[in-house]
Amino acid sequence: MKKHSARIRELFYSAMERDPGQWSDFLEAQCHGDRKLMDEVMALLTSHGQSQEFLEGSFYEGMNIEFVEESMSVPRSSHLKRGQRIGAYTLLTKIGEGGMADVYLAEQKNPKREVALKLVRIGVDSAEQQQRFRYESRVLGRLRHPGIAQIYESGSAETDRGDQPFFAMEYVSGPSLTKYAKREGLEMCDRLMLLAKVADAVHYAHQKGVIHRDLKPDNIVVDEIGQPKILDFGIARAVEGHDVDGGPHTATGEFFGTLAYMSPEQCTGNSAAIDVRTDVYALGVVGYELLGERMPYDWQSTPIAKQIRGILEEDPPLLGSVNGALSGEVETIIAKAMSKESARRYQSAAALADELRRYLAGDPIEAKANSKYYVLRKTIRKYRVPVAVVTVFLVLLSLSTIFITSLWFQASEQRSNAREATSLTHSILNQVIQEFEDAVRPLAGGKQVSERILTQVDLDLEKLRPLVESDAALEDVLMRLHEKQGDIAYAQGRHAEAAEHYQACLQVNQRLVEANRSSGDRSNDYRLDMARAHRKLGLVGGDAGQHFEKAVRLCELVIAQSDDSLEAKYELCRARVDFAQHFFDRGQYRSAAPLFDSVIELAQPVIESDGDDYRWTKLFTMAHLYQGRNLFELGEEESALASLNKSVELGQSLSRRQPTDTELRQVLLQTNLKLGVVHYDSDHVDRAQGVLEEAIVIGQYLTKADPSVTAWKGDLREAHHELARLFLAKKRLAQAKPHCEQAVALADDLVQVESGNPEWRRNLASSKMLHGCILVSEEEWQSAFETLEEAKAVYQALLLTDKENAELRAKLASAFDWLGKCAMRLEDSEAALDYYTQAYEMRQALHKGQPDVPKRIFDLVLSQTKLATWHRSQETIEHDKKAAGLLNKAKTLLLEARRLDKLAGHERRFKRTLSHIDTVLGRIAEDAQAQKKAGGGS
Amino acid sequence: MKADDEIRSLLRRYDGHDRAIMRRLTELLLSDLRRIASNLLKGRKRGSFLQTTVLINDAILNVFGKNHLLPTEKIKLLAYFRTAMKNVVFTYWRREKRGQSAVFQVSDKDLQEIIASNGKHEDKLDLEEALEHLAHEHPFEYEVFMLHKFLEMTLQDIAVKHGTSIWAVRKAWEFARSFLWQRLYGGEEA
Repeated sequence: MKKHSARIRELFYSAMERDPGQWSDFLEAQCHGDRKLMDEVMALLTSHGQSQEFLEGSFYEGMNIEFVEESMSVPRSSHLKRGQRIGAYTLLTKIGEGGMADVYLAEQKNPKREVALKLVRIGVDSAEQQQRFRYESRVLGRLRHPGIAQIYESGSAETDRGDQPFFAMEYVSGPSLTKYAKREGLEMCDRLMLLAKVADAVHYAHQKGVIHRDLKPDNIVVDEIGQPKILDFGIARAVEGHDVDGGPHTATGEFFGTLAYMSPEQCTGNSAAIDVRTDVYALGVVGYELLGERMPYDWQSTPIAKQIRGILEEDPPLLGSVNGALSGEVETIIAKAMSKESARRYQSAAALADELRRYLAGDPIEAKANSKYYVLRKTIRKYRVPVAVVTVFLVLLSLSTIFITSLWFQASEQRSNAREATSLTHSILNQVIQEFEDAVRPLAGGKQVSERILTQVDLDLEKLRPLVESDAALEDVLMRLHEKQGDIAYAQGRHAEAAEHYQACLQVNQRLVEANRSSGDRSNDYRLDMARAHRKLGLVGGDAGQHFEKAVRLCELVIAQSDDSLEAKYELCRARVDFAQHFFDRGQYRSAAPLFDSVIELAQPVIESDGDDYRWTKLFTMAHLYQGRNLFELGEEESALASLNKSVELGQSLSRRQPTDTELRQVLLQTNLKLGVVHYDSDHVDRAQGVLEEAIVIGQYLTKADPSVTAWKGDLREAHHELARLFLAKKRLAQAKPHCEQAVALADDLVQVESGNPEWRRNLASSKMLHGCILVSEEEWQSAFETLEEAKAVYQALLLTDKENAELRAKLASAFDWLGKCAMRLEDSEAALDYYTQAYEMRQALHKGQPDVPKRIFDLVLSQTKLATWHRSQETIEHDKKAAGLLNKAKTLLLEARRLDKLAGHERRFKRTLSHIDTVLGRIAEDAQAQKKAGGGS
Repeated sequence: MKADDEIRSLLRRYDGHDRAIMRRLTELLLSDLRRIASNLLKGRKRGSFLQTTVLINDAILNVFGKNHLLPTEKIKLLAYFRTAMKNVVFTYWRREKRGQSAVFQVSDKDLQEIIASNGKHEDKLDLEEALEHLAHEHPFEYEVFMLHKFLEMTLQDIAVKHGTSIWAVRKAWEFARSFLWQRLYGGEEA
C-alpha cells in the first residue's frame, strides 16, 4: 500500500512539472500498462486543476466560539503608530514580530541612522518573559563585531501605555547569505571567503561566551557592501564559564531550532554536549549549502524521525559528488566541520576560518594533516621553484662538504692543498650566503632558517680565520655574512643589532677597499657594497639622511666610472627609493617626489628591454607604490591612483610568478593599504573597504607565516586601523571598534617587542587616537579624554628625540584638537582653550615650515576655526570679535593659497571650508547687529 | 511530578489516539491552547494576526523554560495542537450541521472532551473521513495540510520547521488539496 501511495505521489509530482497536454503520454509511459495506477494519478491531476479555489480561506472565518472562564489572554499587539517616539527613536514601520516582542524600523536622530527597534509587547508582563527580553539584550549588547548585528542601546521608555522596555539594534537590510551568493554569481573562492567571515563572527561570539545554536543562511544577511551579518541570537546560550547572569538558555524564536542545521548533539537533546563545536557543525551545513547550492540531505517528504536518524547516523554525500569542482580539499573541510562527533570537527570557528584561509592562500589544509605525503605534495606544489632551488643547494652543499673534508685530510700533509681547500670553502660559504639564503629567506618561516644557517656559517668562519690570515676572500665572506645577519635582524625589528652588523660590514668593506686600492680591479664592487651598507644603516636609523646621501653618491660614482653598470643602477635606485622614503616619513613630500621619479625613469628602460627581470620589476613595483603614496600626500590624487594601480598590476603578476615571495606580498599589502586610503578619500567607500580587507587577508597570511617579522605586523595593524577609520567616518561604530581594538592590540604588541622603535610608538599613539575618536563619537567623553591623553603623551615623548618631525607635530596638534573638544564637553572651558591654543601654535609653526603643503594650510585653518568656535561659545561681544578676527585670517589664508595655486586638487575641501567660515562669520555679524539693536533699544 | 516533566512524558507516549493522554495534555496545556485558539478565531476579526508558530514557541518557553525539548517531543507537541484545533473545528461544524446555536460556548471541561473525542464520532464529516484516508496513505501531505489549515502556519514556516524546501511543502499542499477534492467531489464528476 505504502509503495503504491509513494508511486502515486511520485507520478503526480513529475506530471505537475509538465504541461497538462503531456500528462496522458507521460503516464502511459510511466505506468507500464497499470491502468488503475494511471487512472488514480490522472484523477488527482484533474482534481488539481479544479481544486484551485477549494479550501481557500480560513476555517475559522465566521466561527463564533467563546471560551468560558478564559484565564489568559493573548498579548495584545502594541498598535504603535508610525511617527510615535520611543526614547530617542521615531517609529517608521513594523518589520517583524515574535512571541513577546515586535520589531520596528525606527529612526534615530543623533546620530542619524535607521535602527531595528525591538519592543516588548504591551501586555507581556510575565517576569520570565521580561527576563528573557533583558537576557537577549545583554547577550547582544556584549557582541561588537562587524559580522554581528550590533545592539546600540537598551532600556525602557515612558509611553502613554506605561513603561516600554526596548532595545535598538543595527538595521541590516539585504539578502540572506545563500541568496546573495546566487544573486551575485559568486565564485567558489568568494563563497569560501564569505564563509570564513561568518566563522570569524561566530568565533568572536564564542569568545564573548555566546553560542548561537541556530545558524542558518536565513539568519545571516549580507549588507550592501558584502559584509555578512549574523542576526537573531534569540536562542543563543552562554558558553561554559561565561554564563550571563543566569539567563535562560532558551528564548523566543526557537521552535525546532532548524533541523537541517542541527548538530547530532542537538538532535539527541544532549544539552550538556552543546558547545562551540555545535555552531561549527552548523557552519559546515551552511558552507555545504552555500557551495553546493543544495542541502546536505535530501529530505523531501521525509518524516522528521527519519531526518533525525539521518543527522545522527548518515553521512551526507561529499560536496564533490554535487559539484566536481568542490572535490578534494573543499569537500574535506566541509566534511570535517560536519563530523558527527564533535571531537572530530574543527575545535573552534576560528580553526575553521583559518582552514578556509589556508585553502584560499594555497597552503596545505590541516584536515589532511595526518598524511605526511599530502603535506609534502602540497608544499612542493606551492613552493615548486624555491623547493627546487633549495634542493639543488642542499645537494651541492653536501657534495662540497664531502669534497672539502677529503681535501682537508690532504691539507695536513700538503699546505698548498689546504689553501686550495680554504678557497673552495670560501666559495661555498659565499654561495650559501648569497644564493641559498636568498632562496630560503623569502619563504614563510624562511628568516628563522636563514638565521640558523648564517649563525652556522659565522661559526665556521671563526674556525677558518686562524688558518688563513688577511685573506681577502675570507674578508669578503665575512662582509656578506654581516650584511645578511643585519638583514635578518632588521626584518625581525632588532634594529640595534642590525646596525651593529651593518657597521661591521662597513668596517670590513673599508679594509677591503684599502687592500684593493693598489690593484683597483674590484674597487667599484666594493663601493657598491659600501653603498648598500650605508643604505641599510640609513634604514635602521641614526644619521639616516647622511647614510642615504653617501649611498647615492657612491652609486653615482660607480655609474660614472663603470660605464652605466646595471648593478650600480640597481643599487642607486634602491638608495634613492630609501632616501625618498626617508623624506616621505618626515612629511617632506616635495623632496621625496623627484627621487621617486628618477627611480622610475631609471627602471623604465630596463623593464622595457627585459620585462622578465624579476628583481627590476619588483623594484619598479615598489617605486610605483611609494611614488603613489607620496603623490597622494601632495594632493595629486589622480596620478597617485595611477601609480598605485600600476603597482598592484605589476605586483599581482609578479606574485603569480613567485607566490612565496613574502617581500612582494608585503608590497601588495602596502599598496592595497594605500589604495584603500585613496579610494576612501575619493568617496569610493566600497572599493576602499574591499582593498583594505584584502590587505588584512595578506597581512594575516604574512603574520601567520612568520610572526617574528614586526614590519608585517605593523602593516596588518595599519590595515585594521584604516578600516576602523573608514567605518568611523561612516558612523558604523560597531564595525569600527573591533578593527580599532585589533590595531591597538597589534601596536601594543609591537611596542612591547621593540620599545625603542619610534615607529611602533607612533603607531600606538595613532591607533589610540583613533580609539579616542571612536569614543568621542560614542559621546564617552571621559574615556575619550583619557585615551587621547595617552596618545598625546606618546607623541610628546617621541618629539623629545625627533623635534623636527613635522608629521609627529601635526599628529600632536590633532590630539590637542580632540582633547579640546572633550574638555569642552566635560565643561572645562579653560582646558579646552589651552588645548586649542597649543594646536593652533603648533600648526602655525608647521605652516611656516611648509607653506605650500595643502595639508598644513587646511590644518591651520582648522585650528583657527576651532579657536573661533571656542570664542563663540563664550557668548560675549569681545569673544565674538576675536572669533571673527580668527575666521577672517583663516579666510584670507585660504583665498591667498588658492590664488597662488597651492590648493590644486583640493577644490571641494576649499569650498566646503570657505562656506563654513562664511556661515559662521554671517552669524557673528547677525548677532552683532542684534546686540546693537538691543543696545539701542535699551 | 513537575508539569513539564509530565508533559514531556505524555508527549513521548502520545500517538494521536489515546484519549486519556489527550485529556491530560489538554488539562496541562489549557492556557496555551486557549491562546492559540483565541488567536486563530479572534485574530481574524481584529485584522491583526499572530503566527501560530510564535504562540507555540511561547508555549514551549512557558512550559519548559530552560529545559531542552527534543525535536521529537516538539513534533509531538505540534501534532497535539493541530489535532486539538482540528477537533474544535469539526465539533463546531458538526454543531452547525445539526443547526445548533451559532455561538459555541466552550468551557474548560468541554474543551477537554472535544479534544479527547478525536475521531470517535458517529456522524463523521466527509472532510474528516477524507483526511483520515490522506493521513493513512500520504502522511507528509496530511501533516502539511493539517498545519496549514488548522494551525494556519505558512508554507514557508512549515518548510522551515520540517527542514525541507518550500517547493516540497507547496507540492505536498497541492497534492493534499487535490486528494481531498478528489475524495469529496471526484466521484460526482466521474
